[in-house]
Amino acid sequence: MKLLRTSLLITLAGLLQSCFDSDEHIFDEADSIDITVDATISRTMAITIPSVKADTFNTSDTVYFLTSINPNKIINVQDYYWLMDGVQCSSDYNFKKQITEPGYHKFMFVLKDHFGDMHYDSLEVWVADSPTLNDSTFTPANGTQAIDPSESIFFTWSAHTEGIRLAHRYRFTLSEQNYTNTETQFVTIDTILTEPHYIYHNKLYPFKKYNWTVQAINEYGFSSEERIESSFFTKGKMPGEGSLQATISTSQDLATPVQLSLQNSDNPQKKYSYSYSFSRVDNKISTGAVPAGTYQLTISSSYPDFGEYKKDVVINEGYVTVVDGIRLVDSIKPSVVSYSGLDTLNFADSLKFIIKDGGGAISAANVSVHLENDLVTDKFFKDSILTVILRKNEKSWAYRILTVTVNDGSQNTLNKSFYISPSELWFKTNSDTTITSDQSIVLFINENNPFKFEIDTLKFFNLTTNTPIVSIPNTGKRTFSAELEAQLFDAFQTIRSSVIYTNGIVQHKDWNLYIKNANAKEEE
Amino acid sequence: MTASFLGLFLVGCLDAPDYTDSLKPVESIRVLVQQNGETYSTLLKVHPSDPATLYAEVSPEKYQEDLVFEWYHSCNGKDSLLDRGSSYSFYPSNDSLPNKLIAFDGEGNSQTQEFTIVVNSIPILSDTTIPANGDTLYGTTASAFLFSWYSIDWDLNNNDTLFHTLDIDGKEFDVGTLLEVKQSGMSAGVHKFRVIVRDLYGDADTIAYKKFYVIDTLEAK
Repeated sequence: MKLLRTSLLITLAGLLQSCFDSDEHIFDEADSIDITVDATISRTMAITIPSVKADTFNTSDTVYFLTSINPNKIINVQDYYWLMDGVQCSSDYNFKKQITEPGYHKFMFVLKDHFGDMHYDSLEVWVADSPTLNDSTFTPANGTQAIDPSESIFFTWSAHTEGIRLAHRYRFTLSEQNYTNTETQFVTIDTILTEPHYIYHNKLYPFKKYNWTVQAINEYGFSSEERIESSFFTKGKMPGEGSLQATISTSQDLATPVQLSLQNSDNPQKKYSYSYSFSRVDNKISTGAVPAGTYQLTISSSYPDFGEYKKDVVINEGYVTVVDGIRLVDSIKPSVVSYSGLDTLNFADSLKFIIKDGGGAISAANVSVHLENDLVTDKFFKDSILTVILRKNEKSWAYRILTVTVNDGSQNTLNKSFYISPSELWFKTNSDTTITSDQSIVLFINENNPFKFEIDTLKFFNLTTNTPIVSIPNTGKRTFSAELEAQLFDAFQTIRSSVIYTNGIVQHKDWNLYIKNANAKEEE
Repeated sequence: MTASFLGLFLVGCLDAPDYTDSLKPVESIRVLVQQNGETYSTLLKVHPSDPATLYAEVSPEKYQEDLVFEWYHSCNGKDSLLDRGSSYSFYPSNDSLPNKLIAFDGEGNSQTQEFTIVVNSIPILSDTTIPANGDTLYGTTASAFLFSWYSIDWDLNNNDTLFHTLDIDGKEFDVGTLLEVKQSGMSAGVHKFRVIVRDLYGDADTIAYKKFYVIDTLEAK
């Protein structure tokens, strides 16, 4: 029995020892470490993005939950986890999550250290979807006509955020349509509303188009993808009147003068004419008040390249007739001609060209000149005349190509090339000469090309009569001269002296020969 | 004696549950209201004219019979006992509406729950509208016709607000607190409309569809 009691005591002592492992529970302050946890949220794992303790997210966002542990994450811990609204949602230090349940959520990071001490840090998250703005049911409906400009107008719409009851605010704008040549007196309204309606009490203007827009923003700051963009028209002040508004598509960047006429179909004597100036961006016109009736609408431009537009229209009392789809387009390129009218030009210090376009004046900035690939900067363009300055060092023994590029206001581009005859000759020949009919002239060619090209033919040709004068084929000589009597020539002719080389290169020079009557000279 | 002392230590070492199954606490007590035979609702809203019944619902349900409930009207820190029992019937027009519930168990523990009963009048929509039933409107599809109505609610002075939905040919327009709007889009022929009014607490009223006719003045020419 004594042995049994002794055994029982030893067993109990062993159990007590297991409950109180004194070695592990002796506190040594020198060994203690302060443990702190810091939980943050972020929109990305990138460290450059600042992490915060609270934020608002869209249901489509991915939220990154991050933890930092002091002194580090390799300390001995018993457990750690994340709670979302009190329910465990992750067992990682860091995790990402798309929160699809709208509303307020509290996240808490919990760490139980080696000694069983608990460490917490919490975060706050607000989640919602973007609001949905009903962009199909609103008042007044798009295109509403004959709104009395002196009465109140009731704008209404609706929006909601799915799955959560949130307050919304609305950005509302109301503006008057701009028309070319017309200055609006209406002060645009751009305001934030807390209710989904707006009543406009102030005065609008007759026969105008008013544009209004709405975008919804919920209290979490998310904006609706939808946006109401609507418009309405006001009616006039006087009975029996309507109005016409048109949008003209044009290719013209610069202001273009346009004439609009409305000729009454029942009484052609009744005709209303208007003048406008419109461009690609400023292309809406309004006639203001016009007696109601059936009309032939004619729209034309002062520039012939734009053509003319005609259409039968009905203008109803109190209504604005809207005509869209009018196109006044200039698709005709400008034209460029040289002063001589020829495309092959002799080299000169200045070359002149005439530039014309039926779609409006050409701007100097829209004219450029290239000599082969080199931009020619010495040029002047004024009153349709283009003057191109050529330098002496631009002379060549070969043909050179001068390209003039012109853009009109409708982006029609013309590239016109002119040929400049070889201006650096390797031979000397006659220049313009005047002799009397009883004299003779010595035609000569003295060739001296620096490349030692072989000569095939030397030739004199009468360009005026289109007949050859002298041609020496298969000659190896570089000089030639022949004396011819004046009686062989007419009173005036242009003679072309040519050297044709065996490699195919041709050089020539045109010069004039004048024959004066010898008797006339004596009489003088 | 020694064995008892050691046994106490051993019990302390055991990872025993806090409560036995029979002592698990009540998880929640919800206050519900019922009126006019409708189902019980946690939305403590009643209409002023009909009697209503409050009910204390215990979760888990098996403890429902173990608790005793006292319904109070509490005002300025002074509690007036109205009745005992898991349910309490009252007239919403009474000034001393219940607003506090105290539940007791047999062990002397109690739980107090304060609540507010909202007495909400149903909004009323006037049958007088513009256009009136059978009216003929002249214009075109683009003409903006006036729609006007009138609604009242006895609670408007108590921060209630009325919101309206205009239903034209089955298409609903939320028009908020407005009592008139202008709308276009109606072609020549017969049309119908009605208005639905709702207050902040979801009580609503409507009127029967009203017909109106649109004659296209331009087509007539």
